[in-house]
Amino acid sequence: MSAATAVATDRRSWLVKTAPQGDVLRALVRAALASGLAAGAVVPRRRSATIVPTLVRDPAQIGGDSFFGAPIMPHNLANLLGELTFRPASGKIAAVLRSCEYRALVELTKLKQASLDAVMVIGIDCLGAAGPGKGAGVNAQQQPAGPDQAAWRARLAAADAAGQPGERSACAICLEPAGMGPGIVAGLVGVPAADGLLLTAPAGDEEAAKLVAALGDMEGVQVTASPAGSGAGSGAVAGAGAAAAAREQALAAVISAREAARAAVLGKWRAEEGNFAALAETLAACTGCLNCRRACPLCYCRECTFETALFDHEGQRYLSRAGRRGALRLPTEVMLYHLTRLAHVGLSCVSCGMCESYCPSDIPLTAMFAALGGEARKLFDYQPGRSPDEPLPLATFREEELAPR
Amino acid sequence: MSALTSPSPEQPGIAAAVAAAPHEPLIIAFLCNWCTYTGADLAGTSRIQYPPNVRVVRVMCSGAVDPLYILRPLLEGADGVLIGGCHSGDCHYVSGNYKARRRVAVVQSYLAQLGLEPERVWFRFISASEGRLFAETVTTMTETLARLGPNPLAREWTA
Repeated sequence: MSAATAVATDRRSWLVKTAPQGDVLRALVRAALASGLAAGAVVPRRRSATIVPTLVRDPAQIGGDSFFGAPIMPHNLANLLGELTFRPASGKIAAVLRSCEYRALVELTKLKQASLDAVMVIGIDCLGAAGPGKGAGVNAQQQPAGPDQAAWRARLAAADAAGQPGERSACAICLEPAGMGPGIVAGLVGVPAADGLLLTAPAGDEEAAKLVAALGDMEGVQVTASPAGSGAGSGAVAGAGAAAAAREQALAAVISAREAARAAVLGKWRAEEGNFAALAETLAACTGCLNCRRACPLCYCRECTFETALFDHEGQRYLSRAGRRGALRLPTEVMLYHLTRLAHVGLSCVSCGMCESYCPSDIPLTAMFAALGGEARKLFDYQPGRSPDEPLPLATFREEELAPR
Repeated sequence: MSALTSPSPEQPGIAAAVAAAPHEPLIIAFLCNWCTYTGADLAGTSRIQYPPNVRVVRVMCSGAVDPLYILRPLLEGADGVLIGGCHSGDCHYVSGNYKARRRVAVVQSYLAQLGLEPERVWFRFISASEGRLFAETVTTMTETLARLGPNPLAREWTA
């Protein structure tokens, strides 16, 4: 948890209160637009059935239906930011991103399908989210999901029990709940809402400092700063500093509980699914709809090989293939598709689980990618999204490695 | 006779004869145009003997071998896949062979995790002058695959 542990040392922090409590993220994004630091912002807006991402330019549009940090995830926003930043624009796009969305944006940038530099990332803690689907909006009715972890999880569980989209399986085994990003991170976890929202940023980040200054100038906003390495005696410093420490502690507790859950899920997968026969059983439910590749932030090809005519054959060819083994699964190439996807994007997979969220057949793709991809990543000590400067493992090499030499 | 060339049920007499014969491994080989393919050509023009179990696909570079090309023959029942590229530092496209080496390692990792022997996938550096090495590689690989036995996926309709 590099992002969480880095908070204490080389980051400065602020506690921000707004007059209607819980309005800080709205004010922050409004400030980004009003100050001109961002030319646009991706804003999730609440609608009866779900939340809808919108590209907003007018700060006045960020009102009561804007819901940053809603415990609901109809998209991985990195997917949409790829569309917005693939070709250059005149200004930055502000976006409030979960860790899995930021990490996907990093990978997409390395794949040259998005530009991290064109995004003003506002990282946000996330304790889990409901997936897409009608009725997911019940998870977005109250504001905000906030720092109360028990309430956050309870709300998702209640939605699940009521047959509405509840906590996604990927979230239940996520080890990276802490907000991440090159600039500002909003700490939702472990800080009582009454104390305000904790913002942290790297000590030398000028853009973040300007943004927080713009935020402080807004009506009804009160910012208490804790500059790194100064004024340790004042009460204000203890406030933001203590909040940062409380957040780290709360995140550590979440992560340690999740580690056990993740080990159990992946252990079960390896024991029960880690062979071709079991995989065939799991994939028996696959209809070949390719939703998983469309939901995946990293499966960026405009046209997938599996959507082309490559596997359209003469009728006789199907008959002879069926003849070789007595029967042929239809539609064909289902297992080939999943294994190829693993080979293409498995190393960059950020475990956001959108593939599984979009799967009409509830195939446990998150565990499959985490188990198989996680093992393959060990070959190159690669951690997706860890650093924008780290080359993609399949786009680089060392002369002295592996075999043959 | 191997899975890919085995007869359809319309030819029951042949099928029975084939079933009684010992398993002959089938290798699908992707050979780089500049080194290994030319090496294989040299093996032929030099009249070097090697098992007829290999079907060669010429590719411009081992780096052009998508994981899909390796996975597809295996799921279709081929017993092994051989990828041949240039030696270290000799790639016509500078680093395609090194990138192929990483890709092959990833595919092998997935196969191993799913219980299929990763030794069914071979990556070898064989130069244009190494006709003998190509012949030896195919010979050894054929023997290895014969020892491993038929690819179990060849019988699965789900693959």
